[in-house]
Amino acid sequence: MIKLYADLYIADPWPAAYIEYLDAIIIADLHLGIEGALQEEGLYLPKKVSESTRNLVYNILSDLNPSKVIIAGDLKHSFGLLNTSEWIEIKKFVRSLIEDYRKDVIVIRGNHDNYLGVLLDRFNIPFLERYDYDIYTVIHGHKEGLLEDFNEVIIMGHEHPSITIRDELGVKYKYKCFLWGVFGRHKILILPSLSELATGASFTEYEYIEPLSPLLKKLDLGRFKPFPIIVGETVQELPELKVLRHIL
Amino acid sequence: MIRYAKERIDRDTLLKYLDKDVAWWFSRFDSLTPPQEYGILPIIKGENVLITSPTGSGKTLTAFIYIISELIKYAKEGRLEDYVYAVYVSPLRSLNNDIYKNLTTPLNEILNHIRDRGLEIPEIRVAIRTGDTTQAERSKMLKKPPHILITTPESLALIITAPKFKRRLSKVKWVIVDEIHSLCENKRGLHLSLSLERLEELAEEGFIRIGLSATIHPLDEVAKFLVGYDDNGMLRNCVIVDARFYKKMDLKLRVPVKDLIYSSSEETSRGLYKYLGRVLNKYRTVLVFTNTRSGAERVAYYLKKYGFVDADELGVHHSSLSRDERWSIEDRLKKGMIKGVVTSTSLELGIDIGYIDAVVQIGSPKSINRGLQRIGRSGHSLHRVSKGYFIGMDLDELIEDGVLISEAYKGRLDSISIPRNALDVLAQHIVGMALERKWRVEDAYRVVKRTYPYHNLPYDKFISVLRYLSGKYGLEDYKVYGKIWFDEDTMEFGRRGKYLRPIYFQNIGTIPEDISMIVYHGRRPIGRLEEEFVENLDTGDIFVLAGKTFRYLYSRGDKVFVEPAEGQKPTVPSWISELLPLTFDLGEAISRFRWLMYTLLKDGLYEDARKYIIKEMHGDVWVANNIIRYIDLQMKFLESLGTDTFHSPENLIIENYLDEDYGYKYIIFHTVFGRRVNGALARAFANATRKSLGVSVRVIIDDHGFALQYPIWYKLDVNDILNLINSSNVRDWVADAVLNSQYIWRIFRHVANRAFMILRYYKGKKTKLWRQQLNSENIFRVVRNIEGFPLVEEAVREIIEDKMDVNRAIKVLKDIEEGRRRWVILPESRMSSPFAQGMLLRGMQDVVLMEDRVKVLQRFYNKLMEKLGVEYDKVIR
Repeated sequence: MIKLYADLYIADPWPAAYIEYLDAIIIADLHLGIEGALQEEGLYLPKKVSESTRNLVYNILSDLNPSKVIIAGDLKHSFGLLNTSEWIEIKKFVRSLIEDYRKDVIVIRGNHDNYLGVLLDRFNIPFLERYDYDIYTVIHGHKEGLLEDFNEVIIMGHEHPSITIRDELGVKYKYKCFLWGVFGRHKILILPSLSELATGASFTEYEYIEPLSPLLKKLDLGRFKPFPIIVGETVQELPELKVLRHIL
Repeated sequence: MIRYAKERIDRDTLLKYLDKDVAWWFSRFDSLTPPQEYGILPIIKGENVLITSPTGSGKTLTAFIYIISELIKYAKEGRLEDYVYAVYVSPLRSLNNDIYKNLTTPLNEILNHIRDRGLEIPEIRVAIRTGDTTQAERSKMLKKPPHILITTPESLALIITAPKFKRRLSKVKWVIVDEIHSLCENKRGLHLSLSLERLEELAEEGFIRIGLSATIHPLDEVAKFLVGYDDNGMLRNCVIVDARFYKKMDLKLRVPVKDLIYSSSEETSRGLYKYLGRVLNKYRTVLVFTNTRSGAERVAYYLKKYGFVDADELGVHHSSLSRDERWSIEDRLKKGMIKGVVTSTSLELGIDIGYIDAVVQIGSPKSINRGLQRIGRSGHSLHRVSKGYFIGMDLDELIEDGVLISEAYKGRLDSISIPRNALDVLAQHIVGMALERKWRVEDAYRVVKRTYPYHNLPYDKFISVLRYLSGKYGLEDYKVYGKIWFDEDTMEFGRRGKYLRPIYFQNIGTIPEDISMIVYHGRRPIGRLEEEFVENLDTGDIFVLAGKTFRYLYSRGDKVFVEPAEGQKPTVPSWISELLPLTFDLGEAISRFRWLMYTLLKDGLYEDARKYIIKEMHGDVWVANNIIRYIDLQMKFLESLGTDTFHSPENLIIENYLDEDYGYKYIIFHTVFGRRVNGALARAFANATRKSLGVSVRVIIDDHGFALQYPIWYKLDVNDILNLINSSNVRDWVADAVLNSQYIWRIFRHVANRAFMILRYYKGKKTKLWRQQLNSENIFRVVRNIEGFPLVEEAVREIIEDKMDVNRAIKVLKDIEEGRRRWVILPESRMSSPFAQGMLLRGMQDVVLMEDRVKVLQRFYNKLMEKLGVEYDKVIR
């Protein structure tokens, strides 16, 4: 566990945050059923993509054994109605969290999460726009808003951040990462995506990046501190992007 | 059995074999051309035949005259039915139109001649079917099928799958494959070979195959590719008609300046344009080949600017130009309305471009075959002499050109290599076969194994493709859109899903579709770049676009964002992916030439060396002096390190160069095997050095060798590096390097396109390419660890066998292990050799501008003279 602030941790070596007093992990951007959605566009991927995302969550749960799981949006992938494969997959997943692992589950609505309510209702899982607890607010991050609208620490997904690092011979490596930044009174933690398929934009080139989240658009991205992750192995703390830029 | 044609016939004998009205038409020719003398008789006898000769030697008529005669006979006898009797396949659509004209004109003349005699016979129908053919034309073709069908490989694959039309193919008697040389070395050709076997299943009585090819080698291989095997695994018969060297050549080798080292780039290019101007003005029409598209643009620009040729009389032709622009140039060429055309590769092949007097090649064509193909565009009719001027712009190119010329006169050619067992192309055809009917696995496997490229396909690979297509490997979730069903109990397979047919028809083909990205400065679009090029860019890189320099910022989807970087040096050459690799055979010939020169020069026989270059390479005194000085200095350099031998096919010299200024060590391997082989060797050595010795090395890959570069503080023994790689482990090391490279992402996407894993068109819509691009890295990551996944295997195979040449690398290593070649390791030196200098300069990633390159080279030579203690001007006595 890497302590970020108060009782907020990065659950090293997992792509999850952990709030101690709540005994909750926060994960984001699972994009379950992405294969089915891509198949609709003529792209056939092995269904094990979602399977390995689910397994990743199970591994995190077995390792940390928290009492609560907060999903910070984009549990599923397709924008439209749940298709059969998604329905089956998500049901399997959610049931497993509740019945096998016996966790409290909260789902924050992401931009991909339309039509999820019915399914979540069946399991009595809260389906929220935001979740506020103590100094924390968990959101997905796709909506307009001001920092002042939220509690002191904002935990969000949506960006799928990554960074690119070159080795001494100029070979590029891309890593998913957490981004942690302090902006006045507010602190922001952006979670890496759980889905294997979405590494998202590289924040190494932060000056040229148009962040997906409207919330970040006015912020100086260079002040974020990246924590690249090799899932299941390690999380590494690096200096602020601004500083990193001069080192790399 | 493959045999060479021996029986020659003359015109009068031929006429006896032909229908008398066809004979009447043909008698307008006084005599037969060589392909006709030898090629028509086997067709008459019903034998497969491969005819190879330069363009303009009457190949097409050789193939068709007997077919025309037979069809006229059928018509007269009332036996001409509504079936396709002859299929003509050509990879070039533009060629199809020419062929159509060349067939319908004689057919009409013959028909009119018959009608003039009061005889009424049915018309012989000829039709073209390509991707451009409209639905209306296609239904017309179904009702009244052409007797002679002209098509492309892709459309042929569709026709044999079309449920209604394929019945019209049951009487096919002749299949003509034109331009085989441009098919047998790529996946398009593999695709065609499978189509031909599927057609064989439809044709009730079988057909004979007539292959037409430009100059190519070895003919046996091409013949096997054409005919394949029968059901018992025996090679089908084929008669080879070899009329390759009939055409006379007049080749010249020149340099633009007296001394390639101590001339400024300004002097060198002035010299080039002046010489080009002279050639252009000497003839009516001249074709100028450069090796790159930007090169073609530049040459045309300066020729006009310097006023060596009238702007209206000079055209540019390359593949980045719009189709209309290219057609207009071709049209003016055909009509003789233009004095010169500068081109990269686009005018190399096929289409009749009319009257060309001479061809100029700037730089090296890198392959004997390509060189001859280009030169052969001049003196198009058979009896004229092909005139070619080769201009070497640097010393290595000059030698490449010279060796090419002497090899060409000796009748030597590069050997082609036919790709084997490509699983993506196979997957596509299995889908096509499943659409036709239900198959027993053993029957389908037998059909596939009849082709030459898949003759050795292991059964388990075939099964792995069936498994992939039937949704194993976790690909098909809940059987939503299964492509085929595959029952492993009964060992049968067939089609599944209503979308399969449209998927097949919309996505057929093997030519990768690369993504063209739009380049923006802010919101303003300023041009396009190929995705492949953008992939190599990093933030801050400076490159040239439309004659201006820009700094690369970042890219998103299909958009590239840049800012102007006026007056700054480009850090990335814009032609990097375009340059063709030197062929192995030409490389070996260069090594032999180096050794020959050494044997003369070490005995002081400068005059003999000069004579050799002037006589065998058709150079002049300037050429000879440049080459001799270069080789002499290399020899003196090696002597200064105490080495008493020289570069040759047997002696593979390894330099041990310490660059103290920058703190790097270079291990330079002088292996003139071309970049395909050197790429495989270099990556194997680099990967093994990294993983086994724990040292990260950078590789420099060149046609003339390769180098490993690493920081000076690592103390590595060259022998330790050499011991890492041998003929039995090199494939694994390269494959491992490839799996971990970024290059495979893109190649995998191409493979996945061909194998219908990533569709280009779906439900009638073009799928968004940017989406494919966005995910190509992630997609690969998801599939790369699936055990035995055939598409990953194929992507690796394509890279290491087709893009690189790992098989030849294995042979080279075996040669070393068995004593046919040897490494010669030089002692450490603080200077690199002259031969290495060009290699290193070319290989620098932070590419130096031309002018700077000249300066770097001159500085190097100054230093070299100092070290060797000789005077540059006195090197040649």
